[in-house]
Amino acid sequence: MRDEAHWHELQRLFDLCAELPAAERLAALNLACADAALRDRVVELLAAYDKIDSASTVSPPPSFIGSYRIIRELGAGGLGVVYLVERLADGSWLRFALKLLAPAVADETFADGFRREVQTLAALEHPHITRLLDTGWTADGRPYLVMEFVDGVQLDAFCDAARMNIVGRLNLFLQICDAVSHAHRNMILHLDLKPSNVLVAATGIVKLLDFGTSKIMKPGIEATIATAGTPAYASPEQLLGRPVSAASDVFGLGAILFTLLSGGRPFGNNSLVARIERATHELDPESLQGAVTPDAATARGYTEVHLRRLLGGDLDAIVGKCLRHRPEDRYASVDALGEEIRRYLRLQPVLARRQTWRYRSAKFLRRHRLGLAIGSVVLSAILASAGFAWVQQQRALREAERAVRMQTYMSRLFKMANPENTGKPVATVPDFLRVGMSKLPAYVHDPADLRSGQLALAESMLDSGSLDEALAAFASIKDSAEHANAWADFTEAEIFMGQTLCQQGHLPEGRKLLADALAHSQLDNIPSRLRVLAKVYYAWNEDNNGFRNDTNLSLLRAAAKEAEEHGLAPRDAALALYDLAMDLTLRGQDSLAKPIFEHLLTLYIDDPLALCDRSAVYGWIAWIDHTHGDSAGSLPIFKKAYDGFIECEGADSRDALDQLPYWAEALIRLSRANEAVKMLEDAMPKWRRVLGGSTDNSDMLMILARAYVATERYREAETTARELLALISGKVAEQDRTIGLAHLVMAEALAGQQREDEALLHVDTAVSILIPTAVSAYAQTYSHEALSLQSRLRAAQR
Amino acid sequence: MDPLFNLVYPRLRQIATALFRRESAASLLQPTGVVNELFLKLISQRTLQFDNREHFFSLAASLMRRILVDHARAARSEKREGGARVALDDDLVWISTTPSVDMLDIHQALVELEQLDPRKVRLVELRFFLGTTSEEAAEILQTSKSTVDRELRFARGWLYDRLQTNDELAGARLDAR
Repeated sequence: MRDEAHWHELQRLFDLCAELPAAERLAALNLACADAALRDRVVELLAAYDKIDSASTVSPPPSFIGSYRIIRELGAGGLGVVYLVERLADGSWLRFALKLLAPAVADETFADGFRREVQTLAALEHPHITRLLDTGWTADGRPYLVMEFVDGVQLDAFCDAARMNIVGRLNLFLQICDAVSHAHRNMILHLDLKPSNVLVAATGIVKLLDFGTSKIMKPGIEATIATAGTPAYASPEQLLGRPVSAASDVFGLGAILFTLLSGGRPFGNNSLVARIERATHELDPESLQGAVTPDAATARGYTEVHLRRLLGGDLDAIVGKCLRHRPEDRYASVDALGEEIRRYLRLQPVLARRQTWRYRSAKFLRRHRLGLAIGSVVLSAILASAGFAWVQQQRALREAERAVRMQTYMSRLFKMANPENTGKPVATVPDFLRVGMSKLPAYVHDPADLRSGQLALAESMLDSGSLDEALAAFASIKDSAEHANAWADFTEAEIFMGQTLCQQGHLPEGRKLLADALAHSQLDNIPSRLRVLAKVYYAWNEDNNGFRNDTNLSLLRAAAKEAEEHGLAPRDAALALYDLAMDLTLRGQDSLAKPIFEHLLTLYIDDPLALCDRSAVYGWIAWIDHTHGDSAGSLPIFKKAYDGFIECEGADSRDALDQLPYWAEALIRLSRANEAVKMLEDAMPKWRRVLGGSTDNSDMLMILARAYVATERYREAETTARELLALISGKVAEQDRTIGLAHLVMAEALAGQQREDEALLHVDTAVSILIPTAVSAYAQTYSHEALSLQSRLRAAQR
Repeated sequence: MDPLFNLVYPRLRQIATALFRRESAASLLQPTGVVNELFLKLISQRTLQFDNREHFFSLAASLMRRILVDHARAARSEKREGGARVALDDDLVWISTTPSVDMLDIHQALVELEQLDPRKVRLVELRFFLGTTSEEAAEILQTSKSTVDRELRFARGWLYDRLQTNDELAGARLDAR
């Protein structure tokens, strides 16, 4: 090849000449190079290069508009063309979107309005609205607007690619509502709201484009606009050329929401003419559920049936109200719509959970969400959840290079976990973590990074219940950190080792480690996250292992405050708040606890992986509502907790099972004991399989017995109560309320069979336990029940 | 799942979409398919060991090239004439101004360039096949933007000259017939 011999020289000469104006090149070349053949070759290459250059800068109509160099067209519509442009500023080229208005738009009467509009738009500053940065007129008198350029993906495409669920989509949608609401407060309407005008940047931030077509709202006077481009999303009044108002944007938002949720368009793929016809006849949009397709369901991570069910009821009603034909029938404002969505997200039908009578079994909030039994769950879910633990840990892995190593490591792990590669189905999280732990050192060489990765894996092991393996891992990390004088890692390992030991029932060792960790966390240079965790784990374990005192409550309060002040990640902050709220509940301070639980729900809203945690919180809220007399209100919240746990932990979820007794109890309180019986009887086989023989959730038996009593099935009540007593006797403390409640229901079962003498023995025991241990009004209802049964039986005896 | 993945995936999709925007609906090449294929290949590299960012991105870029070329070959053998014409989106126009250019010709020119200057091919791959900006390419290759721009300027000139020669040869063959 002829260039080979002179490659570097060729480049040098080429570069030299390329910098010069064409006219000076030959002279310079002659000076710089004596080799005529080489000179010719340089000229040839320059000619080729110039051809590209001239062709690419001359052929597209304008190359510059003002001082903006056009890169390419981004899109064209009735009102003009949008270009991607760049401009030299401070030595670097910055990119913008430039909207060149069509000549037809820009007649003489236009200029004044344009200027006014521009002033208003320029004042529109909002994180979710692309900013108007500059305006001007081209040489041939066409006005243009220069906007912030957003390098993003169209809203619906973004959501589908991420297989985002309904909650995630609603949260993105709320960002749009905020933006439109902000514009409305500034008297600006959008009037062309549609998915293609909403981009999601790589950062996950929503950006609303194209406030350029909107008109300024004149108070009291509604503007009219000509029909703009997209019939699928335009409001009836726009299609019919009637006055527009903020309600037109509510319609547009509803149309976007329709697509976001169902994947379809509110009026199908009707042509403009058909749409206008429908608008004329005041026809309603299609139903949200009807628009669901199998693909749409997949893109949201549901089955088609599940998605349809989700979109029924509240969401269908919300979207429907946005899309009403008459503007006055829609939400009165964008804020009202946003508030409705927030309400939906907060209250959504519900779920919730227990507070068990035996507080010590109350679970810790999981810090990393690794689903438990994988089995049927696809492999990508493993990767996604394990990946989440990594993402968290990435903060500690500071450099991109480390991220690359993680990438390699994750893909290896992915391969190893893939049954197609190993020939056997791996597919439990513990397996995955075990393999991960053993392979990690091969990929991560820096000792600090290695410890950081090991900590993440070990904490995930703890979360997924592999206590022995977690313990061994923490112990080894702790040693390694000690040798390296890495006190933060040391403290973290100590905290979790203590927690693991407590969970295993090794209380003295566990409490000692947690106390040590609490002290160590006060050392200099320990991250605030660890200071918070040390407090939380220490106080929680003390409180729940029989060492309850106000110091612990203060520690939890301090931890929650510190978490907030230091802006800890929502997940860590949530842990502190959750434990504080649970602790308050255990102390009977429900009125303080409930707002914290409700606040927690808002923390979780942005976290698609927090379904289990959210369900747990619903469980507590339902329990608080139920035990404070609002049993009816608690029912849908219990259901939320139950369904949520089933979804995140699988059909055999213990946490879901934990909801049932209190849910059933609420039903009994509402005189729906038949339903309670059915609910618990249906769940008994699962309970026996999952929890049989354990005193965990023995309340299942207790409430079932109570349900039998309430339906006057006393024999079955007695059998169940006997099973309960046999199960817990000798396993829990004699004065435990569980024992008292078991004797109470036994007494009622016997009394129902006119076996008063036996009943009296049981009720006496019940009274002796329940009266002194009743800390809440709810607990006292059982005291009263026991006392009145006691006096009734005594009276009968006399 | 991973920051790098998040960083690269949308970008690749964007490139793939741009590359195939003007392909017919029946095209073998679907943007998502191409990108998924890329990631499968990335993940299945048995001997893969990323030493750094540069390595990762360069590999991604050259895999993208390989996939596109494979598809172009498949299309050519299927149609028994003319390779897949790849529409070069305006953003990618910097290799050539012809509205579409044969992917296999580009590939062939790159193979030749590789003999002379592998580094320039890496750059071209990053810029063309992975769609990075000059700034990003500079960062990935740990050099300055001006160096990248200079090297790309030369590479463009050289490649365009090479592609032109191809066209002339093709033209000459036609004339001879």
